[in-house]
Amino acid sequence: MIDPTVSNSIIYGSLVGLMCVGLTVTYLTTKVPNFAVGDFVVVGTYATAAPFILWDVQSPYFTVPIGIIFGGISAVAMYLIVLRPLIRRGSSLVVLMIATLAVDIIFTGIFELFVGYMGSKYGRILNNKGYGGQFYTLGQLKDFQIFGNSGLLIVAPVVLVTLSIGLYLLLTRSKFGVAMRAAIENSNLARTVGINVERVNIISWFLAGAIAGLAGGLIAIWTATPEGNSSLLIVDIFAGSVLGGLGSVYGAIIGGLIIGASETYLASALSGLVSQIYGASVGSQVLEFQKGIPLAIMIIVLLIAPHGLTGVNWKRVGKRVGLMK
Amino acid sequence: MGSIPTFTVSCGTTHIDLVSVFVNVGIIFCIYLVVSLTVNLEFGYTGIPNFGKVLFVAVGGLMAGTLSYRLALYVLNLQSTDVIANQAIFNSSISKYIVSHPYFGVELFLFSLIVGGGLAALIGYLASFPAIRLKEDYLGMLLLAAGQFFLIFVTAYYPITGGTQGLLIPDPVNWAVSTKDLRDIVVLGILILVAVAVYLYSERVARSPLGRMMRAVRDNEISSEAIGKNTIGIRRNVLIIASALSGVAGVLYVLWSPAISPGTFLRTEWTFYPFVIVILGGAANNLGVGVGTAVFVGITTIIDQARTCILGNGISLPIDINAIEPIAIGILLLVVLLWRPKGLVQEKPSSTIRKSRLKNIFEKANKVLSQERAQLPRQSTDADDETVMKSDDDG
Repeated sequence: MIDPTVSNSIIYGSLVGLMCVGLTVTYLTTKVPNFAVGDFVVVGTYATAAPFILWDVQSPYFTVPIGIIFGGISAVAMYLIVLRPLIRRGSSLVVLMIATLAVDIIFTGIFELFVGYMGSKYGRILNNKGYGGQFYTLGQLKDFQIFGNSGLLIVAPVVLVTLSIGLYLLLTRSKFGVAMRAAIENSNLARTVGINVERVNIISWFLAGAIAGLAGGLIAIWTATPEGNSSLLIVDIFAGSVLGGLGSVYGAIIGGLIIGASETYLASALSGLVSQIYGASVGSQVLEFQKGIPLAIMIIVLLIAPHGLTGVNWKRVGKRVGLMK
Repeated sequence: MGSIPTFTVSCGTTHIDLVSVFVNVGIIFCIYLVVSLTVNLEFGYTGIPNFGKVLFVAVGGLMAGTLSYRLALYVLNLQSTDVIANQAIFNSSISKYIVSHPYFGVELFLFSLIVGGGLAALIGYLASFPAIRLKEDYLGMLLLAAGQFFLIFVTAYYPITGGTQGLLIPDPVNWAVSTKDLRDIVVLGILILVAVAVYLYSERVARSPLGRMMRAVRDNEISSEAIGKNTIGIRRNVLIIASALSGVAGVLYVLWSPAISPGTFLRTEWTFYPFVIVILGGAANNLGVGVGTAVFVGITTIIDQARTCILGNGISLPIDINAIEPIAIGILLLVVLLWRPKGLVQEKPSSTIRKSRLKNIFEKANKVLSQERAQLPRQSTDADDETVMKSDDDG
């Protein structure tokens, strides 16, 4: 059995990598940082958990596809109802950001309605034991075991690697992928050559929402999910995407992996260190402030290399350090 | 003190006290007016999307509250190893002291205003280091993430805020607590004073050379840099000023409701709603912000009273009725953005001096010009048109 700290780091790193892909794809196609991306994740979580519990399915992995589909649908709905009309009006970037913030708030309200309804009608779905008794928490879903490890330890990295290869093939080997890259680079030129940019955008948004929904479904299997999860996840997602440079899907995967893994690992290492010195009660408090780690990484990245890992000229860095010639 | 007359409206079996509703509406209006004016300074005039507004409000309210509690303990010479655990007992003795020494309450409030505003300004200054050089999208993401983290930090850090247990802040207007309504009226009076001061200040800033420079930075950063303006310095100063005023808003909020829990400062209420107000009323327009605040507070009050009415009559709904308000406000914002993107009151070119004075100046100038022209020998007819000055009615 692998040390739980390490396995949690691997799992969470992979999941944040998935979410960062979701944000980066939407950012590439519409050039707006989407504050509602955490909500696609939570849509995936609830759409995976509710059928699993209601229908007594054997394993939550069977209901993850439902989460994926709902995540994609919610993303497309957001693009079609909110962003496309605003972009057509020629709204400024800040206005678009505020619109995504509004979508985030609406989603949060809908989750509250959904959770309250499910809680009152089917009490077993969500146990009301959260923060000061105010918020609902979704319990961890049943996972299978491999050699005493959680099955997600295998599934999450495999999903991430498969997705990276799949995205690479999609973007470079398929007609749609080439059209998508053309639309991202220069949408007017792409339109002139006869690419249906609208359709490309809609499919990209569906892809982004589906990937985020996938991450949400897996999160429900990994750990208990608090109700306000989207606003906590957004810190990791932004930090990972900024670390990846917001300009490339692969950068997002690496950035998210680094952020998720380092957050989990460093927080638990720090907590262990503090509890050795000051006692266990202080050590467990450190875990509450673990979102400081992605924030610190994000600030450092913005100060040193504002274009992220993919924006750094690695050859020059190597020359400076003296490793390469 | 005379008793306050009561007017009630019945709604099924519940009775709604109109006086307290009006006083509450006034208080909420004043607090939101101050926060929204700061959002307007940053976002409306300067174009800084400060999505971490909740952080500055929370720092103001929480730090002022916890420090004024410590100050009161120091003055009253109350000591304990864990002052948070004993806050109920300590607060009752502080309240008694304030009833017998009202001036101490006034001092406590002034102290918390200074501390809250000052600390929030300090956080704004620190935030400006990574923030001001960024483009809008990165800036928004950074501030939102920072606000989200520090919100967790501040609300969960036991020594400052009591963690999940919450914090009771000494009530500086405790001498007015003979009836609850009277206390709220006194609070309303204070809030109106502060809100009017902040409004006048924002209006002055907007009409000053700084305000014009802010709009120049917003509309075209490169050309304002090209004419030698320090755009980064301007954005930093705006961030500091607006943060300080947001801290003041936080202090005003804890003056009204001195019991703080982890759910007190939420992003929906303190970041999102002020942005809704500014966009609803019209960005870069202080009057518009006032109108927007009035409309917003009106809508939320109606929703709130409907909720009281439904819950008071024991009607059970299958859904959580508290979630209706954010959804309604979110949809309202989207509707405004789609169909009236400039808000209810649109931005006007602001005049730096009064219109009547402007007219006087133009009249005098024209008089002087015509006198001069009369003295000079007539040379050409074309020059006449150029020298006559006209007052612009639109501006």
